[in-house]
Amino acid sequence: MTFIVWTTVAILLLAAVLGLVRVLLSRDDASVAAVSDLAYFCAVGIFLMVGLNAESIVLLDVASLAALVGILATVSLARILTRGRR
Amino acid sequence: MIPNPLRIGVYGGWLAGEVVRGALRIGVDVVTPGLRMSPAIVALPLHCETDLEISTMASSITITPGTITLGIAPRTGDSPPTLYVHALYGEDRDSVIEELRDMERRLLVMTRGRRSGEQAMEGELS
Amino acid sequence: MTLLLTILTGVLCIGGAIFVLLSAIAMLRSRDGLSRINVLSSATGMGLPWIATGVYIQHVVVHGFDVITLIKLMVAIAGFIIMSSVASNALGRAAYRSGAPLDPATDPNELA
Repeated sequence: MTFIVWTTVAILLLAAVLGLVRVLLSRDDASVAAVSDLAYFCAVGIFLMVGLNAESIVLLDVASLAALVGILATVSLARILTRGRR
Repeated sequence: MIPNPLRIGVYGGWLAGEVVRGALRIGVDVVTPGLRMSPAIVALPLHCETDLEISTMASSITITPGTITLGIAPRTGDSPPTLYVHALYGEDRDSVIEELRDMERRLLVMTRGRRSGEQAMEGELS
Repeated sequence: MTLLLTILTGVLCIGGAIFVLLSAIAMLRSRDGLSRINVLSSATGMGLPWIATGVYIQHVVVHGFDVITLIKLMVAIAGFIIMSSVASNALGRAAYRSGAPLDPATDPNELA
């Protein structure tokens, strides 16, 4: 079980780091928005895995709330990209 | 106006298969050397009528890896509602349109039943 | 039985993480902002639902089965799929309208 948890965490961390490398290489606004979404989902996955290791009971609540609230960050980034126009 | 749950299940299962297929296609392309991506933006006139059908179609296109909806033009005068689709593998425009038509046919079969769904796809775009 | 479920959890969690990683590699290699928004859906449509399902299976093994948790799993999966696709629609439209640089190979472009 420990092996599964830490392998998954390592892969997700690698994904987040690759996204950050992408932002450092070319920083146009659309790429930054896409990478911030990717980093959010990596963070949710890492939280779920660490909680699984601790046998926490609220994990599915966290997953459903993260799924429902994740839209706010993306939509506000979209508004920033268009400078507030719709 | 809620479609038959059985039909929703059939469409959801087919869509899940498409998501797996698209994700594997992109994955195989990026881990092998050389990049075959050649993006394209195509206009897709729709046979869908109601807002529910149009927005479900736009979301289904976006959730499939490799295609994303960039904009929705509503029905104006006698031109049908149109989606603008960014496709990652768009070197062949006709095959992209073909796959999207297949998805639209399955969607209309889900919302309207088999006979009237097929009929709507046969009709002229107006 | 427990061993079988643990193996299933492992396949789902590590497989989902690999899909997120593939999406990150695709982001690293693709050439313009719209393509990067495009490949994000293989992380949100495949990766996170698989990880959530793996977590649910392990939850059943440790704490036992109840209906409320199954409903939470359904809400999580439907939320990941629907919310991320609606959000990507908004983001793609905003990126195109703000004049993000396009890959010069984009052909045909019928929204010019």
